[in-house]
Amino acid sequence: MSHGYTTVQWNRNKRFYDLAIVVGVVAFVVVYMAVAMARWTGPQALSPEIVMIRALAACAFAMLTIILCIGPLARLSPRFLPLLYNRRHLGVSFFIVALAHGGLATVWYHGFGEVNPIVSIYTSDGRFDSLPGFPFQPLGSLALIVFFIMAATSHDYWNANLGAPVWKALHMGVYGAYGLVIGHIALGALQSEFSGLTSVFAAGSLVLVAGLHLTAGLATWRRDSTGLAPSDWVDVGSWRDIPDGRAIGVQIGSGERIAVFRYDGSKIAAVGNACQHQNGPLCEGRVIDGAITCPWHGFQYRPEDGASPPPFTEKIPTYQVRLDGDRVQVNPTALPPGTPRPVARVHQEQADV
Amino acid sequence: MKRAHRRVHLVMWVLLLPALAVLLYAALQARPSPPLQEDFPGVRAQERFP
Repeated sequence: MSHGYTTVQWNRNKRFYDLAIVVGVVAFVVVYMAVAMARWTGPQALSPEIVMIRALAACAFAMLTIILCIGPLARLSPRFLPLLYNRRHLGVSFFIVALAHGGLATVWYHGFGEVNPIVSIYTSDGRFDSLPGFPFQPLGSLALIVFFIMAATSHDYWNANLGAPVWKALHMGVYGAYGLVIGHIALGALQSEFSGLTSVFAAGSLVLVAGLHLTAGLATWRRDSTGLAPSDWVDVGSWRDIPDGRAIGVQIGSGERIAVFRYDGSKIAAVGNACQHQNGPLCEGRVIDGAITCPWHGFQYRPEDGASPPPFTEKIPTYQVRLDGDRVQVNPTALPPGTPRPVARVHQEQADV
Repeated sequence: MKRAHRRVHLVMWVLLLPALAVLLYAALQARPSPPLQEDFPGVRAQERFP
């Protein structure tokens, strides 16, 4: 969480994460090149430039697959949240590797003719009436443009200035770009590679990414469909079932999910579940230093009014809460973001038990 | 995530998975035969029909 513009707010975790990315990329490319050059010898030998182009392509595709798996994995289990925390660093690193693949391929295959290399990518070959002859390079090139836009707008500066809904919609473009990459591989590398490795790699990625997204999506769909019946005040359970400093997430009717927190031992407060930053699930977060803290990127809100502590300006909706004996009741009508309302209090003697 | 966003996500993958699976399968079916090996043991067509 940053008030002013800071390029990267480095900390120990981010340095370790980025170091792991660099080591992983270098190791992948070196091992790929060593194996490929040892395997293809004699008349089948490939030039080091072509092997490098293929190594970067395989590395970028593996990174994209990992990036697309992190979201649903984090929705299925909080153990994967540390990967989500710095996913944008992995995304920008992936773009650099993909750009290196695209740049090297453009120079190698299009850089020595009389036509501008960029123009050549879109005009040099391809038959639109034949699947194996379909121009695959423009597909990769278009995907790279989408990845560039995403990498260039990945900083919180753009999230804050574009607004969370626009930023989120823009970054949904990754799924279309993934489709373009699958097309790029299917109509390119797959057409000239007969060992079966490329097809297993591409199909495995698709099954893994789509399978995880569908599993996580269906799980949340079921949870959304089994919400509590709406009324003026809805019983959401006993306050004893809410660990101190934590929350439960409740679905009431067809509305947005609500996070009901217990903090300071005896206080109960309810807020909207979606973080203003990237719609992270606040009910999976904790109360740290008196503020509700999003599990994804650490954005914070005061339980009393749903507003971020100064100098930050983010606000989330709040809900009225009351206690009926041990039972917590929530009024499902959302109050405007940042609206203060009384928090419910458990009798101190009960909270101490 | 917000409810609408979650649903868009799910519907998109319901559409994307079969579309990309069909593309992969069709591309595999349409690719040309692998080149003949240099030590191909049979009689080549050019040798049979010079």
